[in-house]
Amino acid sequence: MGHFASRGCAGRFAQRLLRDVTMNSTSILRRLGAVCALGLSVMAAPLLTPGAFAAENNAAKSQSAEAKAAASKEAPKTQDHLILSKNGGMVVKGQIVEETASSVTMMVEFPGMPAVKTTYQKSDIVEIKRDQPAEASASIAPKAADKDKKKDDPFKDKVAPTATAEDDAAKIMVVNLEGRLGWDYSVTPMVEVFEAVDKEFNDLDSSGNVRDEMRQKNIVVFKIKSETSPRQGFDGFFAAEKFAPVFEKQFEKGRRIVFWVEEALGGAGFLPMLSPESYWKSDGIVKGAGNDLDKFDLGDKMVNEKQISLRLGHAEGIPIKGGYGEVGVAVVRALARQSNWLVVRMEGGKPVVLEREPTKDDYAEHPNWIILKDNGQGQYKDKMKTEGNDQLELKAEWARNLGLSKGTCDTVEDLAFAFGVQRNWKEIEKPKAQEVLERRKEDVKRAFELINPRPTQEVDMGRLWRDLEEIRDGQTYEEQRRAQGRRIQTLQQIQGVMTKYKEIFDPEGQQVAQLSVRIEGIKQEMDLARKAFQRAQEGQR
Amino acid sequence: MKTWTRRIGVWAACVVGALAVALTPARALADTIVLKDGTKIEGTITDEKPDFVWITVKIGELKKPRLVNRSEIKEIVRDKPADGGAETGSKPEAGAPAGGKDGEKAAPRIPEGATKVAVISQEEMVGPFMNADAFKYAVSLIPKDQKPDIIVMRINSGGGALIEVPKLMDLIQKDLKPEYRVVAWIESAISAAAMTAMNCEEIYMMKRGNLGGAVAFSMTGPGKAQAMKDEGLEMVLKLGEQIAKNGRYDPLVIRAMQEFMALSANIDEDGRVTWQNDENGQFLVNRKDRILTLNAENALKFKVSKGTADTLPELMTLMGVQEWVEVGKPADAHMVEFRDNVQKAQVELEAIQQKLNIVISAANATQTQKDRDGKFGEARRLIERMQSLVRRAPSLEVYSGLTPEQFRRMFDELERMRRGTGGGN
Repeated sequence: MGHFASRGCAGRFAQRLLRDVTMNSTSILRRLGAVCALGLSVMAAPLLTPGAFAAENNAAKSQSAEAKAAASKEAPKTQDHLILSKNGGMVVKGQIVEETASSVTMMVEFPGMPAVKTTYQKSDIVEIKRDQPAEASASIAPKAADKDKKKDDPFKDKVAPTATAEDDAAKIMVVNLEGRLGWDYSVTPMVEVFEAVDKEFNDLDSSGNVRDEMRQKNIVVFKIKSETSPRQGFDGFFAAEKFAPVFEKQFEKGRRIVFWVEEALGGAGFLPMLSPESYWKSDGIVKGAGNDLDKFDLGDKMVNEKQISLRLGHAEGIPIKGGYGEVGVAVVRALARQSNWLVVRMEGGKPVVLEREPTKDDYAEHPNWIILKDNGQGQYKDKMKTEGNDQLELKAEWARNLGLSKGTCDTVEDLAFAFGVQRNWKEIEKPKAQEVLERRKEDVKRAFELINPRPTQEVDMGRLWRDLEEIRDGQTYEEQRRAQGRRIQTLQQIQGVMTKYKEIFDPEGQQVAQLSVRIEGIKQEMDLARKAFQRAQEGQR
Repeated sequence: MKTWTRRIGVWAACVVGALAVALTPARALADTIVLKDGTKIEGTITDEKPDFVWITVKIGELKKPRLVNRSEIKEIVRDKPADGGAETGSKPEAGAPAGGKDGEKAAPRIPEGATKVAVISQEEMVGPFMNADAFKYAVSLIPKDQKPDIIVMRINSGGGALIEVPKLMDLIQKDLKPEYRVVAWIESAISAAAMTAMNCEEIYMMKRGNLGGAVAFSMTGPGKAQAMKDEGLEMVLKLGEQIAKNGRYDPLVIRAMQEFMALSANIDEDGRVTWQNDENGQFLVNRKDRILTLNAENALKFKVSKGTADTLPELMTLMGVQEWVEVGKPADAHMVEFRDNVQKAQVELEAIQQKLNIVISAANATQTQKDRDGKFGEARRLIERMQSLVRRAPSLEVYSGLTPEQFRRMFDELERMRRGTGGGN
């Protein structure tokens, strides 16, 4: 019978088959972050209290010397006032440092505390009063002379969060995704992670969606240092694809999710593209793990190409859904096959890509084509512009240039700045979501230590299998019966562990089914032995 | 069994529901919107639009209007003042299931003029899971008063058996198209699933969607495959041409999915797409040494798909359907149950076959005829269990070879073994 090849994520038949087989100048980035900040401005006036200040996270302790110095300066003689439409016409006082068509950014002043840079949408402002007489008690805000300076370099203000009332501050929850994708963390714990996120943020409405006013403020950051097994090669992608519906559900309900890339290898490299918001550490990297698709071999070139094509069809959907468009698709293709090209030039700050070798005409038209990845053949063998051996290694600078990264951030403070929440944020310490992941990781590790059928260099044979091997029959019928009973019990324990962690150890249920065959064999042996024993007893009588 | 259990469950639910209504004291006119997360919003519906509903909720003496997106709504329960009683009827809403969770509740009232849409999922391997007979039966489960105007085949399949493709093609072309507007909505349609989808003139993709990779092959050994050649390939290419004709696609598109073929496209200023069998067109779609799989963006760009939608309301908007109601939940419920049965049966059948061998071995090791008969009795029960599994997953008759005739042979063989080695029986 002829078959159409079935892989996809669903085809069991083929699954079996498969089994066999920065402008990196920090200041430039921060400037970009500032632009972003305008779009993500914090609306409400910060209600600063000493208590809230004290309660702020320890990042507050790391205020820059500059900010502290500013805090000790004399107050200016005049203030600007913003009368807001919210909170019964609340008046916010301070120094306006920047004004655009749609927003006003102000160093908001509070008695005895450092000024807090806050951006207000003009739609929320009833009136702007400039150069009003300063209140005597107010202000440790920057001198008026600093105002122009800050306009020139708004990044000078980038310090660790100072304080505002907790209700008003943006909350950043950093959850580390570490280890092997699909093993150390998988879909089930990820669902639990988001349940923990919802509980901790406590920001859902009666429909289960994130309340509108919290959608920008409550931010989950998944910091990735993860990989899929090199043995899986490109097919590690399918482990990442399984996560897509989980994340999509969260986006639908309005959860703001950001990926922060430290190291994402193999299938893990696709995770950041699930979200339209991804930031990279300055040494962040995405690259393949194990064989790429050019190594795919079922012994028939056309069948190989079909298998490669359908895999790419799946993989390309991730950047499309994430909003990375044709550039994201081109990156996926370059990651997938050694023979694929990725050639880029920047035009108006945006990338233009070619997926072939640039011709003389191309260079004549635009001399600034950069080969990020060649096909590794002929003169290009091992002569890539990026590192690696004819395989794409995507690093922070080009991730940024290609639009896959919104910015390069090495600390949570950098992220907060890039998010546009500046000083008005707090990091959630020891998030419950992290505990969920850690606990699950530990549980899976312990489970594997019980049921690992074959010893490896890293892990011994599972204890339950060792127990099984050590069961001795004994001399008498009763001893033998007990031994068989213990064997069945041990096999059922293994089945229990496999069923509990089915998505990792036995997604198709075949292992458990095979164990049931083995149990059946023992039961048949026991039955025959019992009958023989009974006959012997009857004979003796 | 499961179906009966469910029917009994539904019947019981109806009784409980009727009792609840009977015991509820008369109260003021109120509508209840039940959200998908189970939340109930009680109040008076004041306005309804295709995408949302306004409901005025009373809090104390205060009346507060609230906007609810239809995509969040599971159902709307309306109280009717006409007879003064508290008759509760569930009315399907756009974007909401027609008949509750199982789609087996009382028939929904359908707004006059609303387009009726049935979404029937087609998932997993073509043949055992994505199966023409099961699909046909599923459609037959839709009550006549809910007869849909549109059938949306929501496809998520990595392909499968070639022999199922003509069956699905005939079902779509001869049975469904004359009666309904048939649409393929694709999460993933690879290989045989792509061939099936392309019988539809209207294809819509989900953003992560993919369509293509339709090289026919057979396995020649562990980890070894061979693409169809010669007469087999000719036949499959002809099938592709017929499908292209059915779906009104350029046959070159399907062919580039089936075998190595260069394909490029031109898009004129009116947006018309023309195809050519080389790499020289305006846009290179497929290199001569590769197999075509389209993603959502290029499927749309080259007009193989008519649009990209991740939700049913988005799909309806793209299809130009203003007012619509989702019907035919029993059809999809059947497909879900069917696939579940096939999945369980596949795993269990393999194990039972091995157990059968063990039991027969044990039978041969028995010392008495009584014990031996006992073992053959066990073996018989295992075969009966297999029959039961296949009855609930009938596609396995074809795809596991477990036809009634095969079962008869198995029983006969078992009996022959019981007699043949029994000595004197």
